[in-house]
Amino acid sequence: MARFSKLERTLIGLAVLSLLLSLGILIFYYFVGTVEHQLIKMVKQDREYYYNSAIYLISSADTFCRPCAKYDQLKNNPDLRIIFLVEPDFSDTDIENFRRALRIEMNDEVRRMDKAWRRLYLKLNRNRWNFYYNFLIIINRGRIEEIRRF
Amino acid sequence: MRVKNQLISWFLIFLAGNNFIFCSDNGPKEKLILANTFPKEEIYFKAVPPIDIDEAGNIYAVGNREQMVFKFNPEGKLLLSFGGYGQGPGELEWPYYFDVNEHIGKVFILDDAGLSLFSEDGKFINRFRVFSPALSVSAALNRIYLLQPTENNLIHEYSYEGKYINSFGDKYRVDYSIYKNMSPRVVDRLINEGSVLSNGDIVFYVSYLIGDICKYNSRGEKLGSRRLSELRGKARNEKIIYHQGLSRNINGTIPIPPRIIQAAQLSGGRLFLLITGYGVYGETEPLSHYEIWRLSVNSLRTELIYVLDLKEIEIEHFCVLSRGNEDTFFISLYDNNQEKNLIGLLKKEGSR
Repeated sequence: MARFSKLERTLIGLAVLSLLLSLGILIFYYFVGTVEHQLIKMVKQDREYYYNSAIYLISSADTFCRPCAKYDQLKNNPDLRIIFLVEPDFSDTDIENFRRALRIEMNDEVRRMDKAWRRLYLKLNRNRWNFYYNFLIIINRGRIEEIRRF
Repeated sequence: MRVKNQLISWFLIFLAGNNFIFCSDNGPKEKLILANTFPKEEIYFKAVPPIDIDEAGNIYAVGNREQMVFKFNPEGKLLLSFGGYGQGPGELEWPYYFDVNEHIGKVFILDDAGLSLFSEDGKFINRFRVFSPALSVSAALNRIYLLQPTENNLIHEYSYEGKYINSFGDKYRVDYSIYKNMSPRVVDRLINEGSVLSNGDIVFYVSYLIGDICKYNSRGEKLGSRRLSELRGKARNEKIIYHQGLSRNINGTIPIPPRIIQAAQLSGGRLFLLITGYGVYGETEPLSHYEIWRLSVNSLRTELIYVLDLKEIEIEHFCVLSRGNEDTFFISLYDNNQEKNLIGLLKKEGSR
């Protein structure tokens, strides 16, 4: 250790620190900061509720070219909780019209995204065209089975 | 021979009684000419704009690519513009179908985000989502009518706040199996293309491809109808729609049969139909020949036919202000000579 001067030791320390920091950022970027990780965290908070569920994140849907993907199949599964999370600016009338137009069953939930879901939606929706997609997330026994964009 | 003639006359009387009229000359004719076009410099429409008119004669034009609504005075001077691209309040996302209610002074615009209400001076009032794309919008007396072919109905009624009230009207039913690579939703949207119009008491549906007019009261009960059998393109379109069917081209596009009615408007207790050259002649060629038919709202009989023979001009939309016996027409058009999308004022030939 004596072979290194004080300045050299400081520089080596800084290099190691920056290496660790980069590694931390990389780990965060690839594992912790991912949509999947955020989603798992949110599902874990209410595991019972989301245990077997299909979550639709809806920005803009219609009966013609953007119907709710797989809904006709999923609604026949009695063990599946179907939740529609719509944009926060949907009014009560919009939600009513949404239910009626897309024939959403009364026992399926339709509610507005809260801050956490909205943040997740925006993360999922990152695209170069600034297009607002909808997403279907299927959770099977507490695990994410499918994330589909439509 | 006498018996045969008598039978023919009785048959013709029967047909006339059922509003089946074979003769094209079923009303007096007047010729219209293009008197003025605008905008001159300030705006360049990238697509032919849908237009409508208010009680004062001001023209509203929807710039679909510009994502804006432009208001002009009757002389074509730009008064104001509103909208702008976006999903926020007062913003528009690919607007197209719209209606200016001349009595209440509100502008109703359908876009990808829903239906937005604006005041005449462009102030945003309200917006609601409908989730089923509409082909036409008409507003009257706290009611909004949308032409949305769904599984069972054609016209859907909403309040100004967006609350669903009622559905009515029969859509055209076809054998979907003759339409190749097309979902029933696409077929329904294609064959039911038309216009919904309302003056508060009566709601009309005008079919652009088949050429029928259906009349309903405000409760959605059918009051009557007229088949425009004298339009020559009708039989050909019916043959395609009911018997031949359609199939997608290799590139995914759909070869849609030409319209026989290009647009429809309601003003001053009269129904106006813009008939295409294909409707009049039953051919695809005479693009620049159009007729505007003025029909009585009560009897649906043709009162007057305006003939437009405009060289190198293709009309997409029109609007009319009808007061007494005076009809003022504006059209939105593509001028092949100037290669421009414009709005034009039509005048009777020989008038000042």
